[in-house]
Order: sequence, then structure tokens, then C-alpha cells
Amino acid sequence: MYYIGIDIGSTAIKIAVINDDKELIDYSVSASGSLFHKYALQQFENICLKNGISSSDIAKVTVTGYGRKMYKQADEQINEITANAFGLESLELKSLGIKTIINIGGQDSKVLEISDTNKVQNFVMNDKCAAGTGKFLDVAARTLEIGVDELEKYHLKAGYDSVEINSTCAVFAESEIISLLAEETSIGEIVVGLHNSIAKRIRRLSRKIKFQTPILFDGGTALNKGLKQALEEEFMTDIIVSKTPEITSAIGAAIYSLYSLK
Amino acid sequence: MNYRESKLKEISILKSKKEVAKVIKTLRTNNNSTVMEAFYKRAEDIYLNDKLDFKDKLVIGTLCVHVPIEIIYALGAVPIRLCNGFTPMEQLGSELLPVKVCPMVKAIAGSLYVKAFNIKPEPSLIINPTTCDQKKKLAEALPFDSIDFYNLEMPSNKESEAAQNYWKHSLSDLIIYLEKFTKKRLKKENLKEAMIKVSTAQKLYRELNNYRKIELISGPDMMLISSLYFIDDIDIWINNITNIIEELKASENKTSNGNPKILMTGSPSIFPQLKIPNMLVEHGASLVADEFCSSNRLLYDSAAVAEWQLHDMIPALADKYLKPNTCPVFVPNDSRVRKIKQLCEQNDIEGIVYQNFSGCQPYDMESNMINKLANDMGIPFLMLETSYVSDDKGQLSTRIEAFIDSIKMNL
Repeated sequence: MYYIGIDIGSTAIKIAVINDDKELIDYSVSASGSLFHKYALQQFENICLKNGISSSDIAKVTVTGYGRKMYKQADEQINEITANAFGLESLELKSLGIKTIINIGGQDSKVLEISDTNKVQNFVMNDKCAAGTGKFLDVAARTLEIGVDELEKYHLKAGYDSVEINSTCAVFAESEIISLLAEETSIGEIVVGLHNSIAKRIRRLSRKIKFQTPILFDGGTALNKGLKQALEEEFMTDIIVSKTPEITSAIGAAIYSLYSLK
Repeated sequence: MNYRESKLKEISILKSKKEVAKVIKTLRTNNNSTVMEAFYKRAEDIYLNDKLDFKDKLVIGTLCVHVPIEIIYALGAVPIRLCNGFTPMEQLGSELLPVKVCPMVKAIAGSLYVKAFNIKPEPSLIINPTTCDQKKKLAEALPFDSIDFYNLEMPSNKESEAAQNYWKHSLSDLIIYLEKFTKKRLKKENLKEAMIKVSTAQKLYRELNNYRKIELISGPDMMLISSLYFIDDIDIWINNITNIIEELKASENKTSNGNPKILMTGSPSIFPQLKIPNMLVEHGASLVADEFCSSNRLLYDSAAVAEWQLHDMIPALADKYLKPNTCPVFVPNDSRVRKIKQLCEQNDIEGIVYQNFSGCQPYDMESNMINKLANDMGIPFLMLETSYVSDDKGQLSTRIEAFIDSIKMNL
């Protein structure tokens, strides 16, 4: 049987399919857009078709993320924070004994304190704005006229050379970046500054909870090694990033599908 | 009043009524018994049908919890607490006061601007205790001619002898001022009667809290009741609460539904601003206790009088309004930590939700202290920064849901 998790986030729709042994059969990531319900249904059909999964092979579908309430076809809905913690039960992560998750998604960032049994003990989330989220990097990259996926390259090339970006607000940061460019600051230095400013914000956020190692960094932004490096420097410790950090919550929802039937 | 002002008044009062109707509807939907009906009807009468009329009596506005309303009653006047939870008033206030002012102070400014008080006659004086900076400076910050303010001076410490003497002097000055204002003398029989009445009201509220503990009455409903205490005719309020208690006594004891038991504290939820309390209930929590200046702190501690003489009653009142008060403007304020600890123990609290209105500095500053207490007690703690407008409902809902989920999963 197959167990499916769908994570309809603000920026991307993630679908993960696992089997009875929790092995990841397949996954997909696509943009949410405005019709995220329709796109999610399409993605779901595509992934089933590709893997020859018929509806009778599916034991349960669990949906999570911002758009979950729109997706009525699922068997159950769970909160994205709960789903994220369930992601730690995956084959790849289970043995690591993760104590803290830093999740930076498209629209929000969270720090989760995890119990010995992989349950959410406590958590903190950013305020209702784009500061310290993927959206912040999105806006900044657009101002710099580079792709979001290029941020990593610029960061690693610049090394430790950076400027201080003081604004955490996406709108104010844009004007700060423009004035830095006008002073002939290199793109690399600005990118490192941006990553550092997010890292600093996450550290401030995490002051309110018990912060213990090992730490997992996930969400779509964890694909960016530059940001990972900035977080490691800010927290002065190693940070773990899984092979597919963007789908941790989707895998978590799939694992929830499996566990809830047992 | 010019055209713009009268139009503003009309629109914001209309919007406030809509908000009230919506919140009462939510309370009714979330409530599956009829015990609260009398209070819902009373709220509709006051806020929707403008039925609260004290005829030729003098109405005196108060702010915060530190004004001894017993003195106002004893002088034959009616106190009304002007702190309010109307979003349209907050929106109006946003245009009058600096951006970073807290929504509650903005709401007060808004209601003063359009003179929306839900009470007749309009208040002719406002007694304003010098608590937080925003309340303190409110009268001076208002960019329009408002009702007169009397600043009731408060010490920032409540334990030292000097502070207590200062406060007693401050109250004597208030009495002299109010005697002149009402053209009446404070008599001991009248003060005794007022003190007994207020302490009866408090006793009844505490008694009702026992039913909240066993989940026969919900947190948001309790907040409606205490918000009505701000404004309603105290005799009608006492009568309604007595009836509710009688009815609850007769009802069968409900077994707990197993929902996580939550305590709320921080910036106060005043009706109809019950956004977070209602969301908590809707996401499957039981809001069994609170430490808000608009409910539990307001109605918890009574005055202790040994002899019914003015020279004993007034110091007893002074003590009541200072010593047990856990308002975050006081330094030191470890009594608030003790109070919350006690409430957690008495009510088997499983989670603390700390509401902080954006711009409310004193509560923000004390959140670390309460967070630490929660950690020490092993109780999950959720800090929510919010305002009156509901633009953050999506984000709040994610946090509240995850918080309640995490409590349930760790049980």
C-alpha cells in the first residue's frame, strides 16, 4: 500500500509517496500559484500516473500546509508544524535524534523544539511579515537581478566578505540593497549580508525556546548552502540538511498517513 | 460637530454594532447551553439597542483597574470603564495617535473622538490612573477637545511604605476633587453600601469562576461577563450573575471533555475583542483561567475592612487597589509571577497563551518573566503578538492549532 502526504505551502506544492516500510517511492515539487487547489490535484494525478498507483493502492492521503483547507479530497488534514515534526520519523532522519528544527519556508520561518519521541515540545514563529523568510530572499534576488538558485553560488564565492544588511523587512531591504549597489558593493557581499541577516533573525527567534543540538534545517530555503553556512556561523554549530529538505513536511504528512492507520 | 465628524461617528458606531452582533453570534454558536442567554441579551440591549440610560445621574469614566469605583458609587454617580475592544474605534484612534500606540489606547481615543460610550448620559469626567506611559499621556496626546481628565497619581512601586503613603494621599486628593465635582460629601453609610455591593459582585464572579474551572462556562463567555461589569448597572449585573450561578448549581456536573486547559494572560481581551479567546475555543482548547486586568484581576480581590468607619474604609480601599494589583507597570512585579503560578496550579493548566498587543510595552517586557515561569513549571508557552484588526487570523490560527496539537500529542 501507498501512503501519501501533500504539503500545500505558500510558494510550492510538495507531494511525497511512501510505502509500508516508509521508503520514499517518489516526490514532486511545483509552484503553488493562485489556483493551488487545482495544481495540487494535477500534481497528485501526475505522480500517481507516473508510478502506476491506482486509487485502490492508496491507503491514506494526508494534507498539510497553508492551502490544506481547500484540498477536500484528502482523508485528513494536519497542521504544518505537526507535519514537520513527523518528518523526523523518516528513514533518513529517525536515527539522528534531532532536537531542534529550523524551518524557513516561503512565507514564514519557525523554530521547533523536539522531544525525545519526535513530538513538538515548543515552537516559535516569525511575526506576520516576510522578514526572515524565503520571500525576503525572493525580493532581494529580484532586486539584484539574479535567480534565487544563484544566491548560493554568490555566497560561497564571496566567502567571508560581507556587508551588514540591517533591514529585515523585505520592502526596506530592497531600498537598502539599492543604496549598497550605488556604493559599488559587490553582489556576493550583499548576498552574504542577506543570509547573515536571516540567520541573525532566526537566532533571535529561537531565544524563546530550549535550543539544543542536533539541529535540522529544512524548508525550501535549506537547498541554499549559503544560508546553511550563515546559520552555522550564527549558531556556531553544525547544522544538518537532509537530501530533500523541501519535502520534510510532505514526508511527515505521508508518515502520519501510515502511523494513523496502525 | 462638522460633517466629516458626524459621518465618522455614524459609520464607526454602525461598524461597532456589526462587530458586537458578530461576536455575540460566535459566542452563541460556540455555546451549547442557554445559561448565558441573559448576558447575551443584556449585551445586545446595551451595545446594539442603546438601552443603558441612567437618566439624571452623573456618569464618570474610568480607565484601568486602579480607580476605586466604590467612591464614585458612594457619591451617587455611576462609573463606566472606558477601556474598550471595538475595532472600528481602534481604527479611528489610529488616525489620531502615534503609530506605535497600543490598540486599546487607540480604541479609547477613537471612542472619545466620536463620543461613542453606549451609555446615557455621556460621562462628564474621566479618572485616569497614571499607569503605563501611553495611558498616562493620553489626555495630552488627544488632538481634539475631550472630556476633562483627572490624573490619579500612581506610584510605580506597590510594596514600599513611601509608595503606599503616596497612594493614600493620591486617593484623598481624588475624594476631595470628586466631592467638589459631584457637589456631595462622602458619607460612611454610602461608602459602606457601595463597598458591600462591589464586594458582592466580586464574590459572585469568583463563585462563577469555579464553574469555568469545570468547563460549565467558557472563557470567552466569562470575558463577556466581566466586560459588561465595566459598563452595566451593577444591580442588574449582580442579578444576572446570581441567576446563572443558581442555574449552574442545579445542572448536572459535566465530565471534562479532555481539551487542553489553557490560561491566558498579557494585554487584556475586552469584549468584543475576543479574537484569540474564541480562536482557542474553536481549535479545541478550554480557556479555564485568565490573568487579565479586564476580568480576573479586576474582580478577584476584595477590600478587607475591620471597622465600617471612613478612616478604616478608605485605607482598606487603597490597599485593595494597590497591593494585590499585578499590572506590569509596577516594579517589582514578582507578584504577577506568583499569581500566574497559583492560577496554573489551581486550574491544572496545560498551556499558557500570552497575548501581547503590538505597541504594549509593559506586557512585552514582562513576557520573558512569564515564559521562564512556564519553562520552570514544564508548561508549554505561546506568545502571540496581535492587534485588534483580524488581518493576522491565518497566521494566528496556524500557531494556535500547532500549540494545541503539541499539547495533545505530548499528553
